[in-house]
Amino acid sequence: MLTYSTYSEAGGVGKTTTAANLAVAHARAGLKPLVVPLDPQDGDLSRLFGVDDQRTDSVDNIVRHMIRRPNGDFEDLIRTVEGVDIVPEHNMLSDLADFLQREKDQAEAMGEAFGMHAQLLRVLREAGVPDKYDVLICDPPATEGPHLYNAIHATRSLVIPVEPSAKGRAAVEGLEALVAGFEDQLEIDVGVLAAVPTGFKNTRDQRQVLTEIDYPIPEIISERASLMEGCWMEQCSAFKYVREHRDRRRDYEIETLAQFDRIAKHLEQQVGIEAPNPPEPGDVDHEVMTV
Amino acid sequence: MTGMKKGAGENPFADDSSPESKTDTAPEAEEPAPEQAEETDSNQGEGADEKQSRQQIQIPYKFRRDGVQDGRDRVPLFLQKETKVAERDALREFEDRFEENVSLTDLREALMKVGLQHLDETEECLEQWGYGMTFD
Repeated sequence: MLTYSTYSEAGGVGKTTTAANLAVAHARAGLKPLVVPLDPQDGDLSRLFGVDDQRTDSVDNIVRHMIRRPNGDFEDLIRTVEGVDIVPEHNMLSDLADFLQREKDQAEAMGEAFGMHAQLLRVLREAGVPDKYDVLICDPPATEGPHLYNAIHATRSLVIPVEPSAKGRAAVEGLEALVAGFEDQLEIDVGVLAAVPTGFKNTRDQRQVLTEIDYPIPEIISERASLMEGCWMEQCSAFKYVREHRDRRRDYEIETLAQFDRIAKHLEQQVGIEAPNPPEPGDVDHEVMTV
Repeated sequence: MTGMKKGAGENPFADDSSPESKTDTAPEAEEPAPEQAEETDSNQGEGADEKQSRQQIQIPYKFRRDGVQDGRDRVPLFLQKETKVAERDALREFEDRFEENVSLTDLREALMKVGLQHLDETEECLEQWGYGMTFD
């Protein structure tokens, strides 16, 4: 199974849209992805896909499962959009740290250990996720804390959207120390599957920054604010947006879709996955196969 | 610590034993984490013997915590090059002695704690760097 978390220290570099579009790209190629976003704030992946309608209701949600108080089966949490299974975010995520700590205190009072950062992996493992899915994508917030640690602990690989600027480069350099900290903290080995520069305007300074990033860069996404804003407006992926909400097809946007297809393929190849129905990159009308 | 490798990290679902097996396996299990935290269930026997009180059972820090930063505050640590080299050598030495990975974070605090118990020798080191010098 291909597993990764999208991580970006800075906001606004397209972390969530990258996760969403890669998930759809994997689905387009005939794989079965599960996305577990963990952002406690609005404007998250659940909103992008239009599955955030119950985030304030007292329904079963991922946090309940992580603290061992589920209100139903894990499968019943899942919503399917554009061929992608998603576990919607819920407002309880704002209090995840407190909930986990409370559960840990109780467990320790009983003489049991409780790994605060290992709960998401436990939930996914108990739900049989490796048997049911080909790809697992987590989209945690960048702040250090239980959301991020649980995501990294459950996926162990990173896809890093990065701003091609001095600030972005500094963020990538800072990432080394940060991830070494994760590895030490979580006692795991973390790998970087790809850096994904976004908002690229092909300036000399930007090109210079990219030469200094030492991770695989399968594609460089150009500045696509209009397309990404459209996705948020219509609550869909870039693929669906271009297919259904653009009055005409623009070559440069098709090319961006092709890039997501190619990045997804690069990631799949990193773990030896051969997708069953890969599209011609950027083929907007390629149908997602549903079993 | 390998730092950040290019390419996939380890497979999180690799040791896909059932959740129950965590209490059966001995603590010296070969694979790192996810089960490691849960495996201390088998340790709790010793802990319970040590402290038969209604307070928290004292599982050793290394098994009780979620990670090396648990219960610790981050401090900036500035070290000269020779010190860093000596630190790495010490880390390797302890990894040989314990025959397992030793966390650098743990080693540093252990060195500091021992140093705190030997203030006279520490004073000598500070004097070598120039503390307490008087100029006549």
